Amino acid sequence: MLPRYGVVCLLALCMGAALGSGTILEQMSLDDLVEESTAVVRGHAGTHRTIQAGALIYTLTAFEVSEQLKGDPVGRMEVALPGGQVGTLSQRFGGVPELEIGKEYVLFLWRGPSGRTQITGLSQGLFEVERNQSGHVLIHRKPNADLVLQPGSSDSAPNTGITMLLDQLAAQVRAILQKRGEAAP
Amino acid sequence: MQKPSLQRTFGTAALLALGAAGVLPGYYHFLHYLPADGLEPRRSIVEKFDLSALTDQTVFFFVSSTRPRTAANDSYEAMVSQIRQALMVWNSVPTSALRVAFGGVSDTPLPGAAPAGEIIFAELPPGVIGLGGPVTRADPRDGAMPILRSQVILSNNLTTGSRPRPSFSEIFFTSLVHEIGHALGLQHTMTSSVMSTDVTRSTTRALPLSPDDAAGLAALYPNQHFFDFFGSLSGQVLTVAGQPVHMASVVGIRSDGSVVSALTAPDGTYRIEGLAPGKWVVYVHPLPPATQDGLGPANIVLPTDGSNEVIPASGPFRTVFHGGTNRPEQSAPIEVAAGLDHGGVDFRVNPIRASRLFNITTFSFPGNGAAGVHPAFLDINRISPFVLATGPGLIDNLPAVSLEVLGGDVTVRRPALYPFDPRFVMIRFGSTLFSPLTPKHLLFRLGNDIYILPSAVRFTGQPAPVIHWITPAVGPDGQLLWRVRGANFEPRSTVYFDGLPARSLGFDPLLSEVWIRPPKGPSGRAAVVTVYNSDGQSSAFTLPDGNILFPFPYSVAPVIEISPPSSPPGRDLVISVKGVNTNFASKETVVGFGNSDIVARKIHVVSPTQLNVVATVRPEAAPGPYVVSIIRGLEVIALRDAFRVDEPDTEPEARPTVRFRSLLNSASGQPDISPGVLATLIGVHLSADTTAVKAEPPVVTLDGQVCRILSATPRRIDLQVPFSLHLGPAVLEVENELGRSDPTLVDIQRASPGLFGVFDADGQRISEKNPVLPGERLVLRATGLGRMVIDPATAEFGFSSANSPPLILLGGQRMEPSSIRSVSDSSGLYHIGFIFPVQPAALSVEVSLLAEGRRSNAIRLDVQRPDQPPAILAESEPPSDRTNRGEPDRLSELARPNQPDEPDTTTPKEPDWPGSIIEGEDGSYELEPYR
Repeated sequence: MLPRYGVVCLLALCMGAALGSGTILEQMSLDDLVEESTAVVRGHAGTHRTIQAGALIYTLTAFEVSEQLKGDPVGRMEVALPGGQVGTLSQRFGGVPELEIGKEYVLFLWRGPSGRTQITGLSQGLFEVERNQSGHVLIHRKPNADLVLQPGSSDSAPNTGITMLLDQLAAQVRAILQKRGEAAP
Repeated sequence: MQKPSLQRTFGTAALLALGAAGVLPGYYHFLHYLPADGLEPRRSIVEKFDLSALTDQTVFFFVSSTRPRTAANDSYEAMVSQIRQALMVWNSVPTSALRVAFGGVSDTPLPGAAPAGEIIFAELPPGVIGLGGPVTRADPRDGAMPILRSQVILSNNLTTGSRPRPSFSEIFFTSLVHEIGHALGLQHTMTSSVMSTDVTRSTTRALPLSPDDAAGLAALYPNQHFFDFFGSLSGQVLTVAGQPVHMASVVGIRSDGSVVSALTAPDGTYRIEGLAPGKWVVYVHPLPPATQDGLGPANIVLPTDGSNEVIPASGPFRTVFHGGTNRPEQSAPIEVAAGLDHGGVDFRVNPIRASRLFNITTFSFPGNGAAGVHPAFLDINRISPFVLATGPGLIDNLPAVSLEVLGGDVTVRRPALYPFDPRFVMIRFGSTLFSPLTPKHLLFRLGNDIYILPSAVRFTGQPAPVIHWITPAVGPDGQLLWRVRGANFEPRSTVYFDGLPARSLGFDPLLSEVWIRPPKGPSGRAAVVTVYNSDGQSSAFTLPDGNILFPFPYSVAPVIEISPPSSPPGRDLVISVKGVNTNFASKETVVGFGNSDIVARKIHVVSPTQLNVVATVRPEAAPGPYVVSIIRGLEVIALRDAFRVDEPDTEPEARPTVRFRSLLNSASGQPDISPGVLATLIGVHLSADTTAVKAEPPVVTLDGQVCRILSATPRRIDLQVPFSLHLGPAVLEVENELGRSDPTLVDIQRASPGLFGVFDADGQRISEKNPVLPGERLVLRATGLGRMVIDPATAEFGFSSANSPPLILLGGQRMEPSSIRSVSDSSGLYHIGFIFPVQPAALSVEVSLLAEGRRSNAIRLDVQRPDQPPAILAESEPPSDRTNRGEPDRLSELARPNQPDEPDTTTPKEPDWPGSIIEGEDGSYELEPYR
């Protein structure tokens, strides 16, 4: 007897873990990113500093927020990414993205009990902001597991990443928040 | 079939040289390339642990004492037990010189300077399950970049995310083994091994490593077995335009289904190491595109050049078998021989814009109404057998995709959309009833390109096991045992309680019932019970929620005392751990010191209330208090400040000092000791001799029994271990006029064979100048054959009922000796005669001894070529002394030749004994260990 449809749906969940060389990521859809993040912000990356917290070194990047799509409004924050150098101690993790000074991003952020703000799903929650020839603001995410594991993608499409209008993302975030009964900032 | 030619094959020495030079990377590790130097090829530097910096060549992994939030039915203790098992998986690779062990729990960050690994629970954002790999490294030396710290970082909240990640789940365990693999220096591979990403991985808890994983670790940390028993193949991958292809994956598939691979270097060259002798079909394929920021294809950390710039991988190309075909049946298998490299396995490939099929995942339904599982297993008795598959490009291109099973021992139908979920493709097989129970490799054909998924489906003889219940019973010995009842159990089914195996007591096939004795568990806690079958399936497939629980009884908290409670750095010491309500059991108890500079090297459970731990406090250990963790079964006991490292000795004591494993077999030079063996003890102040005064010989005791001293100097004592010692750990102590040493433990084994040399009938040592003649009678001088007894009928020595006679291993072939003689009643030295084959297989062959399953050191014998004139030896042996057949009673007598009174018709003329004794300037005699 063939299994029921609902059982097969569980298979899709089992596919969600994509292991990187040193980084194990769980596949997150855009809806997941919005739901799991405590803030979604647009802004510019500033200077870096490093701290050691327990066994981990974090690189903290100052982030000037220009637009808030989710979460309590905040003007400036520090975004923590695992890895960096403190004194002679250096740590490097494959698959952890870097924030370039002066570059504009949309970040999906999560603030944990420790108070550190990290990027949800690492590279999955990081979008670069660009402008197209007609002046529209686009956000672009590099290829990630979300696309690669998406059934039904065309043969040459899996590695093309996400590019969409920032307004589209903002609308999508608002819709998800509305569905969850949360107020947009 | 292509045979290896002399021009294209390299011997073992050449393989070693290639590995040392780092010219061709086998497998794929964390690499850096130095700039090309003139005509010399570009050299690689690999990140790895420096074996010489590790105690016992062992990297210890420590687990953070900060407990994570765990999923339902899970616990910190269960997680620690799974981590211990995952470490044991990597420790089980027989061709690796690196040992991997659990070092106990520790604070974070892990204190200590010695290289080590740590497993940490930290706050990770949603969507991140874990991080890991080498994180701190030292400056390169000897062609390697030493890893100082590796980390595996897991989320401190394992209850969040789209699904919880309990430690008893298959994916937690295989992910843990995968991450520890990264921490040891391995990167991703595309052979469906544990170092493959979860998307294609086909390993399970019951079959945790593939030959590719073992080859990957052994290529990084090879021992001699790796070179002796495995071969390699090498070549170059170029485009049809002649451009080298960097990071192409070259894969070998053996006739038994084993799969091993390597990636190409920037110049397109590659070498696949760790290939078992046999026929291998070889193909090359492109890596799948990266799915994470900053990584190369297949999420591999890209190599860097001399300027620390990343060297990019080449683009995709069409997959092709060796010979330039995409038809496996048209590609001639390549014969691989042990110890040889088969070179010239080259490829020319056609670049393409993008691969159309890659990263395909297969699923099967394990039964019991459970959801689909990956990797896919298929019961061959099932009617209309099928699996599901999904992956990029598969659905869109489905009408044009056809399928084959590599090897062709089972037919497969054209894949079709799965009617119950169109995101999946259904793969139906023809009759599988008589198909061999081996992993099946699927070949997807799409236009002119192919995609091969190794081990896509494992064929099995029955479905996954299911547990119905577990009940107590009284065993035949009157002791309490537990009956685990279920379905699809087998005689080799193993029952685990969280991460620890239960002791198996019996199996009833009619009731499908396993009788077991559970490991010790924490008071009042429950463990998840799982049954693992040898075919790779487990009850975790059919009961993924871990809903068969075993509650451990409530017990009184133990009280533990440690003695001595402190030590200065740079010492080995035996620490006694005594307690009340402790219930220590061998193989279930681990002791750690929460610091990489103090390691427990041996644990001897004396009784349920006492342990002896041999610990090494490394010289760099910082003074201060340390956490002692005692893991008893599934229970974790952390004792804060229970051990202290004192300030270093300003004036070292002038008394005998010996280190752990400093009692060596005099022949092999290894710490392999058995009753009666000739042994050499290395230390300081072992003898009170000075240049002016000859002191009394030292007294060396093992478990209180006095060893016979053959010679003694301040740094070395040659001795014979008493025949009457019991097997197991024995306490070694040295006493002389300067004082008594701290005790250490020595493992007394049943046998510990060692060879001093091989001699001809004239007593001449076989050497390059005195090669073996085919058909010649030879004598091995050996020690360490274990306990001997006198045959009352013949008055000759024989082997005790517990020991069986040794066998000779000659070029891998086992031979029975023609004679075995003890040189004197209890000298511990034996002459083992044998006839060298009249028609030897090679002109150089290794001989060793096999006793009680243990192999001695090997000695290489050069065979005289038919056209070679017999060598004329410069010196003859001293005349034989036929008067001394008894036990030597003075040190000076040990150097004299020792001959029997009666001529032996089965053995050649007895060589002098022992040829490797050397006379010191002070009149003492020493045994020269085999080198």
